[in-house]
Amino acid sequence: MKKKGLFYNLLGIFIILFHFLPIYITLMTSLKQKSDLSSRWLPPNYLNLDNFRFVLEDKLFFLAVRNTFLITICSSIIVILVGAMTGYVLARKKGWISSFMLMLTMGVMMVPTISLIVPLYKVMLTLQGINTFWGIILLISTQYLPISIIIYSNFIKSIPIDLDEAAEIDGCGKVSTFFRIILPQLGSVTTSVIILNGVKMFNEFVFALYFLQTPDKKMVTTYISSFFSEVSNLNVASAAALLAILPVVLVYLSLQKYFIHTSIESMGK
Amino acid sequence: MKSKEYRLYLFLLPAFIMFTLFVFIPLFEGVRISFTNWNGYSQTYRYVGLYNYKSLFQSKLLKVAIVNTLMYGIICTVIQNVLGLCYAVYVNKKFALRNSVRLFIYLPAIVAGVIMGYMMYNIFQYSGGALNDIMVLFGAEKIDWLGDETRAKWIIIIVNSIQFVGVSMMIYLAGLQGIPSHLIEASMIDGANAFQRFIKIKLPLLIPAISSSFLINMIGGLKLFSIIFALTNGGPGISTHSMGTAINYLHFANENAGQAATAGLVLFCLIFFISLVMNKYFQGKEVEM
Amino acid sequence: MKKEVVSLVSLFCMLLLFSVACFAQSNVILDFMTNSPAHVLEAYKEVAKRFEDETGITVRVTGYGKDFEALMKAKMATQDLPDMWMTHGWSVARYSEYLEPLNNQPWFDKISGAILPVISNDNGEIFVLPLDVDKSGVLFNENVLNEVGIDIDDLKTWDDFVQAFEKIKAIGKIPVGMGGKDPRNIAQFLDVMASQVLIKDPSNNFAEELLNGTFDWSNWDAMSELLLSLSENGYLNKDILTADGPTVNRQMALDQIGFMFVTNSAVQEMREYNPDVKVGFMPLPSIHPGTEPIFIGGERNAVGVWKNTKNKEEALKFLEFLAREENMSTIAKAQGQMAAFKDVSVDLGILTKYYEKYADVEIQPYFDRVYLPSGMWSTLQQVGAGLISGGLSVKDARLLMEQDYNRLR
Repeated sequence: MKKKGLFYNLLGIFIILFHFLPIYITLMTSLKQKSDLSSRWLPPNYLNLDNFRFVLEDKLFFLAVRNTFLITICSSIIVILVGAMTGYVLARKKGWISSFMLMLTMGVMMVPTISLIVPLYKVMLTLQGINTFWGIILLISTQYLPISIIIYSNFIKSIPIDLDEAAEIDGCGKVSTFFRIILPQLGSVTTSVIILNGVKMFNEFVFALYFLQTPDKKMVTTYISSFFSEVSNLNVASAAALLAILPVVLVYLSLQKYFIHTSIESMGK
Repeated sequence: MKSKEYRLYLFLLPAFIMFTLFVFIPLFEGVRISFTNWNGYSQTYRYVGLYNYKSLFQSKLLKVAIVNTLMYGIICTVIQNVLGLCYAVYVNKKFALRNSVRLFIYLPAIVAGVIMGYMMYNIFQYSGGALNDIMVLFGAEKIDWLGDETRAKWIIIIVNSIQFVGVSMMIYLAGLQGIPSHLIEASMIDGANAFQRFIKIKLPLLIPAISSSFLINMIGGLKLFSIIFALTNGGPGISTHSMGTAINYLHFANENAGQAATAGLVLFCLIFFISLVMNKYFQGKEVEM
Repeated sequence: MKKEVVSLVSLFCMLLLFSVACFAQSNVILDFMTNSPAHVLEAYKEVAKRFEDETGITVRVTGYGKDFEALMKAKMATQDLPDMWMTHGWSVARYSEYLEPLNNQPWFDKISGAILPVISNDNGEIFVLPLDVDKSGVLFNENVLNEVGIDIDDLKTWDDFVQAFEKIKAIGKIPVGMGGKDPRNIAQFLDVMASQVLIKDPSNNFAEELLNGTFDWSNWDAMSELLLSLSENGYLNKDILTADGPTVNRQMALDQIGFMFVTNSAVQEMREYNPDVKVGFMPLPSIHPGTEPIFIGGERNAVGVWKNTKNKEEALKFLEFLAREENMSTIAKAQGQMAAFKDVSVDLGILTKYYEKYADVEIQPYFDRVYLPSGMWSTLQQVGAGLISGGLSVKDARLLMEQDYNRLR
């Protein structure tokens, strides 16, 4: 058993190194000056935090981080609420309305966003949603709604229908059953919805590029990509990229504990 | 009672409004554009009937893009699921580093595709790229990794699969931890060995996890855009274009919005058809058990 | 029951609140968008700051790099344009439908004769304030040329260049550097050389046919073959298809590359990699006997005003401000080009001596901007990259050019 543990740990180190490689290279790049042309594997033989300082002294970077969090959190709330509501109906109701909605949901999941940009721009213009946070929040929520609807609907199907029926006998309507009986049970699956979608929302690029155009409304991805495309300063871009990953890693680390915790809890049932 | 039943359907309203406004209206507008010769920005254009649909099949770019898109979708899905399941089984064991291993496998998945693409470009670049530094260290010739068509495609596939294998791992991990322990214990008493337990007990119970992981990976692979954008920009030549990058190219660079809209509809149908088939297949499996 | 309705309503109220929070506008803010590289973008911001100090009108300068053209196309399609934008060579062919004619502006008479025809449409209308005159030729590395003993004054024709390429190849360095990951860098070669091949020679002049649509595209094969001769003879960098601009600029700064067919703004970046880099530029070699080397030139930094903007008066004021000598030279210097007004001088650093040396060389407009319809810039990119990667044959290239030419006209 001991031997096995050693093998697992060694394998673990190997896997960690493999997956960490791109980030390591980025870290080395971010520590070097632009004129330093040594191998990307080697750390610099001088201390240079100028690239990080450059990003941290940029007010727009913090604005971008704030905007990104704001957008991610609001979109997540919408996706969770609307997703759970829709999922509940799809799980509990049979009939043409449900099948039709399921079909729409599947369809939306498959629409390639990139081909919608220009017509979508027209819609957003009519709604006066260009350069507004609510506009992009609604767009992003719509994009990640289908997958959440399906996750919620699958999960709610696994909740015994007896519970609903018991509640109805107690005089609850379907609607209040949802809020009193179903919603409180969705904790663990909601965590998965957040983990699955939150990261992608945080990393949204195409919508942010077209619909948030002023510098103070940029998201982290568009902020960093401007370093790659306009400045073509790889070193500063690398520093910005690492700083941008940091908050997500922290959020993930704290959520991961919760994730495992809820999994164990549901196993204990 | 009856009226209350119908009130429940109000729950569908927010999602329905959002889908209509931000997906279906633009989608139908796209259908209209596909019948025009619009250049993507002018206020004037004319209707050209089925011209874009006919020329679609003569376009070398779109032929390449369709084949590549299928290749990216299918191979990425296979790699991510096989590797993801292996990883999940592995990190489900008890050992000291297990939480760190989970973190580092999942870490790349939280990096934006565009940024990951640029990071990877630093590794595969010809001059000064990290991989070629190693080649030189061992006395080998430098290789232009992304300069060869087939190799570039495989690099895109591998980069994408490695980046998102953590997502599949997490789904399978949740699935594995959801398997009731009494089932495992019962089979142990029956004298089944580890491999038999995995095939007979765990795998069938993982079908829902497999089905959702497959669907997520497949759609992700078919929609692949930002990694290609950052790594090869469709090159060398046009050989690594996916439908996503080809549509972007046609609409914004080639000023061929009509053709781009047509290609968008083709991609939509492609994804729809594949998902439908996959869904049917997995539903069948679930009923069997 | 009420509880559910309340939660639904509150959801949308929340969104409304956000939208209200976003409408906190004060006085006039002019939006200005551009795709300039970093140091030029900084120059625009500097001028905008001076303008604000003087007039109290804020100009919000936003840089979009390589995403600019796509974004502008989406904005044109939906008629939602910024007050002003930079037209990067397309003020007439692409943007004029949305721009305010500017012939009546006070600075109109100062525009130098080299640029005026380029920015005028058939009726003589102009739509932009030009700030500099783009002059593109061949960039060369002085150290590499000295090493193989080449005098730039001996390089007149394409054959002279080929001999120089051979000498550079012989010492193991790269004769011609191109960053083909961004296929614009390959298209640039086709674009600047096309004038020498198809327009300059009196007996091979296709200008009229190209303009009236009767051009026989088999004549394009000469262009494809010219590009192919570079790659087939091993004159290009090995990573031509995967190197990006910065990589090639870095190699040039390290004295590894002899020639590059790029605009002079690349010199700024080379100097960041190696402050002592010695590069210069010279006119493009002639192809047909009896013709002379030329430069390709045209509009680069030029600013237009949206014809439907609500802030037209303020925007025109900003243009007037940009047209002042000190402001114009700030932009032109950052771009490394001469100013677009007759009486504005610009300090161009290490390139100054070459601007003086070649002051009298003929300048031809960019081929694609005059002889090809808008949209074919991307076809040139596809053709260039396709030819070098082997994905397109010379015949495929001809067909593709012809097909897009007919579609976009």
